[in-house]
Amino acid sequence: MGRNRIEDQFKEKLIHREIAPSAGSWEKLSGQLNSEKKKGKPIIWWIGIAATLIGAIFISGLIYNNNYQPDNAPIVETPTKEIKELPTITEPAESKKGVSERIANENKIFKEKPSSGRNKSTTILKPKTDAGLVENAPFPIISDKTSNMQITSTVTPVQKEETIEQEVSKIMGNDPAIASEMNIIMAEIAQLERNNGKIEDAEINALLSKAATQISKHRQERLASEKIDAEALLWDVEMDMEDSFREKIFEVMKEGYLKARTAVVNRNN
Amino acid sequence: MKVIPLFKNESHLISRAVKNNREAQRHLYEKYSGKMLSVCRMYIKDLHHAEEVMLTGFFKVFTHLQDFKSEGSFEGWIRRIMIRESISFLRVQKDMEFREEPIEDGGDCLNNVQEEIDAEHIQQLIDEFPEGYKVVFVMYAIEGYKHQEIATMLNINIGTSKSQLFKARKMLQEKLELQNIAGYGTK
Repeated sequence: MGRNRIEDQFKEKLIHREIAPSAGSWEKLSGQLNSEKKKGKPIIWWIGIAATLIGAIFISGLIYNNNYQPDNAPIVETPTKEIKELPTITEPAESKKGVSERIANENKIFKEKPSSGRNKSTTILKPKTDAGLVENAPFPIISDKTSNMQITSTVTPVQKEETIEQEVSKIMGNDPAIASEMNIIMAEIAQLERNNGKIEDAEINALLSKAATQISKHRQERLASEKIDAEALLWDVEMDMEDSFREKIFEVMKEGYLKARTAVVNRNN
Repeated sequence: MKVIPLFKNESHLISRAVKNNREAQRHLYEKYSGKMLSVCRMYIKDLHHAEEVMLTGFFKVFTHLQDFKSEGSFEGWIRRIMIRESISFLRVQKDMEFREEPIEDGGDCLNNVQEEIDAEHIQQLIDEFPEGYKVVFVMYAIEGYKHQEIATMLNINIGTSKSQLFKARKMLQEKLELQNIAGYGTK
């Protein structure tokens, strides 16, 4: 289907034809071009602002990542003081056997030194409230290796007695059962002294054993009546642990956030 | 008094117009607006609508002037923009329809026009075509596009383009014979 001559004639007539536009056509077009020019500038501004913000966020992220150094060291709870002290009686969940053993160990410090003729290296540390406390009593050397109470310091006898007295006071203060039994023992010892003049070790041991039995009995009774709040125990442990760990984490995060914020502000300015 | 032209040649005009020099743009507009309005008028029957499409076309010319690569003529580049805008306008108006019809044998050659026929008369004849016939006829016969290019621009098949042209020619022949312009069968 090729071209024909009529079509060529049509083309020749129409291709060079010109139709004059209306009078205000250029002004109309010029107005459209001006509005397009104005519209273009804010867009460029917004693009620039958006690019600046993205760059600032990117840079602050880099700075934060560089400054934040995670603590690689393991978070370990270190005890605040040396565990070389007399044990305190505060755990009610101990087994009966453990309680008895511990009380027996504790009561070793309450062994009375004989008034004469004995060269044993143990002595009784009387409670602080006892008026018969001898200030110049020999230094108590507790050489029983099975005991948990080994006094290895080189303090003077008077100072050591005071330390031991404090510990004894603490023990007695924590558990009224012990205090009452101690009072009973002291009374019985005093009675025996008045009656017999001297007291044998076996008698003292028997009194102490009896006291220990009584104390453990009191404790069992108390355990049976007390309700153990497992939730409270767990909560206490958790809070103790969490406080330190959580605080550390918060501190690190707070530092990082403040640094990032400062970097962004400085960048925008 | 010698008038010193502000711009040495068209390339200088174009380079200033790219930089949004309004004066250079006005010169280009005044140089090509007459022809471009004629182009739009070939496709769009209403002159007012044709002028609006022409202004839209020039708006795109000046906002995309940096895309002109100087590989062909500047006029040809503007013309292509005007044709695309005219076709878009007709699509929006939903006036364009392309029907797939079989091509009949014979009768596809128009005889010479015996009498002088002016452009206005030709335009009137073309305006009577259905939009689909008119667009294909103008693009092929007046603008010189090939069927492949027409099919691509109109998003139709090549066969549809050919059939539309055939129908347009047949209709034109009938009209010319009615007006006793074409000397049909006198040769």
